[in-house]
Amino acid sequence: MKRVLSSRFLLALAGAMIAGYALYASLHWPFRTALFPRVIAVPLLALSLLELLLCAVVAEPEREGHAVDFELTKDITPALARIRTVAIFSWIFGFFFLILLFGFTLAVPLFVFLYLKVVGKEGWILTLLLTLLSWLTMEGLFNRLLHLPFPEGWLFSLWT
Amino acid sequence: MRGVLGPGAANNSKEGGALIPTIAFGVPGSSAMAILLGAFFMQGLMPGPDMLDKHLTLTFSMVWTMVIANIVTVALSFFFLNQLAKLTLVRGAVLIPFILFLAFIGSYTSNNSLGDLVVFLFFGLLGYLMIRSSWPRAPLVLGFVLGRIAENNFYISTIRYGFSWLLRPVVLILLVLTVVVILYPLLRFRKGGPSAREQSA
Repeated sequence: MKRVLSSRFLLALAGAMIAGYALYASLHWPFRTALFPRVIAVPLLALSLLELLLCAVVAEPEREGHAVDFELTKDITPALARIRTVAIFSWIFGFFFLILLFGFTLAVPLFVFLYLKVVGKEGWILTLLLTLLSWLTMEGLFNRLLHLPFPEGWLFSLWT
Repeated sequence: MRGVLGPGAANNSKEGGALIPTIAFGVPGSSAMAILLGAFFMQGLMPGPDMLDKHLTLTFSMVWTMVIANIVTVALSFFFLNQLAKLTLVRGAVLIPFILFLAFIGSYTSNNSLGDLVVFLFFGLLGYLMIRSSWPRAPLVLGFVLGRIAENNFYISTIRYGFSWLLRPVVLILLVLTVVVILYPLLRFRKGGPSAREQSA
């Protein structure tokens, strides 16, 4: 059961489902339109099913010592790692919703302030200094100097 | 100190080598080169023999940029090594909001669209899941970068030659190599028997 619910298994299942859907969707497409999606979907489906099979029958090998560009730390307990992962993803998605609600110009200093105060537990002086720095970078560099067209936040567009 | 310098120098020196297949064949030698290849296409540059002929000046400008960058890096490191080393003492909690801020701005400015932020979040999540599952991420980037070229040339070949182009020697060799690359780890695992399994388990 643990193997079936592993991220490796779920990722392979997602790959197989996407490939299966691509094949199904391309059934009624003209030949030329369907050709390339099918050419990609068939090996993707085959390899995903193979990976599913390997996940189900073979224990996941430990891959210590192999060349990787990035590896998750194994120094902490899985429970703590899970809590940290959920926390950082919540902050990242929270930042995205702040951008949608308030627009970049306000969301960036607000996020920097909240993160430094809540997660970093930094002192007021450093927090306010870095918040000001982020606002200056946002307003001075990206808005005034580079004239990037940042959209208004949803809250402000409701008022106007 | 030597323990840090050695891997650092080796890590930097591989970039020059990775540029060769990227520029000459359009096959990126590393994840960073796959991103560089994407930048080439955005600028309308097509990697291949033209980069060693028509655009030789540009290719040499990249080579010299790397040479000069290495010299400048060494010179700056001699002067500011102590100060630069202190950067490692900066707390993660201070760095994370600024890194996220720059990552979000970077993805937004590619098309000035909020939709790119959704793409950024999706691929961030996918990248994390791939790391968790020990799936390499470079092939995915490679697929995105080379996908359009592969699709265009696939259509051109099929329209011009039908499916007979699949039987050409170079295509056959590449197909066989692809199958071997896919099957080799499985065959090695099966042939190795218990010892190979113990080694990998």
